[in-house]
Parts: sequence; structure tokens; C-alpha cells
Amino acid sequence: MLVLVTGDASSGKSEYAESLAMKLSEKRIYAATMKNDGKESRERIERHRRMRAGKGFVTMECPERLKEKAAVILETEPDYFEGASILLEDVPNLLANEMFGNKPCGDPLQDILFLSQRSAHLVIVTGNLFTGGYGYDSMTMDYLRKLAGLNRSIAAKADEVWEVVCGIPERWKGKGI
Amino acid sequence: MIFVTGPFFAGKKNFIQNELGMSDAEFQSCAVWDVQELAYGKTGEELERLAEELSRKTVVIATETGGGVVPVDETERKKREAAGRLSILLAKKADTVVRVICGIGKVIKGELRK
Repeated sequence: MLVLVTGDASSGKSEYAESLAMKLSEKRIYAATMKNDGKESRERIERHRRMRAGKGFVTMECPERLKEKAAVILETEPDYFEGASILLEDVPNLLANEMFGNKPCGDPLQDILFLSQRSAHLVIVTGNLFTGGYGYDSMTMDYLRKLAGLNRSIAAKADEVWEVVCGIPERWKGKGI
Repeated sequence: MIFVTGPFFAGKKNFIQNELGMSDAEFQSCAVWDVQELAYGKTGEELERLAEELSRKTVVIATETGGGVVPVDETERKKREAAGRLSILLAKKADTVVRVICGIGKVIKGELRK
């Protein structure tokens, strides 16, 4: 099952996505996309780690090149993803790392689909960054356009799409888990 | 009139055009989009008149621009205010209001008949 969870910043998306991933399988993998490169990101990573503590998630660090990372893991552990529910958090980070990192930009959509094909369940967290008007510089607009495209493509393939508002999940697609 | 709103790049036009089964030509003739830009510089009765005029179309589409930080710049702030007010007027006049995110539409007022 492929599930997309969206919402505004700090709306409770992570908590909800996590609860879905836990419901879907006892074998849980957390695909972490945040680069550990500053005080704020370290604090956020810590908060998310505390949230997941004792919930049985194995962490897979994949700030970029998700598919390559997954392929390397599969070489040594072919059944790493088998029957697992993966919580991928999050698409805005993954895309930013790809677009603004040092290496040439990969293809996050293909990477995500690769992961989805190899696991039983993939729960993806994304964000709604699109209501602040058009007044950004062209680089940011380019990023937002690509991110929105990713969201639409994932949503089209997803079995379930949820928007979390003030911690309350609202269903946009699917029958509910 | 069907009023469609949602964040930018959400697939608002595509969604409603497909949902209504319209050709590109049909859609172009009976729909109007990015109406938030028409609101700029208008207040009160001007906005009312604009909403009235727009509501003669079959489909009216506006992009949500009220999120994020309130702009420091006065012109930007007024633009945003006008856009929000226009959307409220349009939603009131509309038989159907649809909100689109991630390419998926949800009817939040009335019903969508094909």
C-alpha cells in the first residue's frame, strides 16, 4: 500500500504518518531525509527520534539518492524491505537535498517508486508549501513547482491520500486504513 | 458557477476540466483562472462587482495565497487581502466549491454534477 500524508508545517503530519506505518506492519523502517547539518535540524531530528523511540523503527539515512542507498542495502540484505512498512519523511527535504546539494540532481519520483515496489507499505510525508503567494525568487518557485509535481504524481499512484489539519487527519483519497 | 480553489500548482485546472469532461476549447471559453490577480487594488464594491461579473462563468478558479507570513510590504499585503476577500465572495455566490490539493478535488460546498 502506498500512502501520502500532507499538511502545513507542524500540523501533526509525522505523528499521523507514523501511526499509519505502525498499523501496516510490525517490521518498520524509517527512511530519514534530513541532513544532520545544523542546530535546528539536529533538534528536529532529536524530537522525531524521541517520538519514534521504542516503536520498533529501524532508521535508514537517505538524505539524497534514495534508490542508490536502497540498492546498496539490498545487495547485502536482500530481504531488508520485505514485508516492511517504510515511513519516508519527507519529500520537501528529499527534493531540496537533490536540487541544492553538491551532486547533480537525481530523480526523487523514480527513487520513491523504486522503494514502493520493494516494500509492502510505503507511507510518505510531504508538505503544503504552496499557499504563500507567488512572491518568491525564481529558484524557489522552480523548487515549489517541482515539489508540487512530485506531490501530484505520488498522489495519483497512492492508495490513500491524507491531509492533516491541527492534528486531525482528513482523507482525500482511498477507503481508510 | 463552480468555484475551485487550492494551493498553487495543485492541478486545479486539470482536475475540474477532467471532472466536467470538457475539451480544451470548451474549458477556455467557460472557465477563468488566476482570478486572485484581478482582485489586486480593488476593495468593497469593486470586489463585489468583480465577483458578480466572474460568477457568470461556469468555472472560476483562484489560487490560495493567504498562507505564510503576512507580507511586510504594504502592496503585497493588500494584494493578499483582496485575493482572500474575492475568494469569500466567489464561494458565497458559487453553487459548488471544490478545493484541490495534490491533484485531488474535494467538494466543500454543494455538489459536483458532470
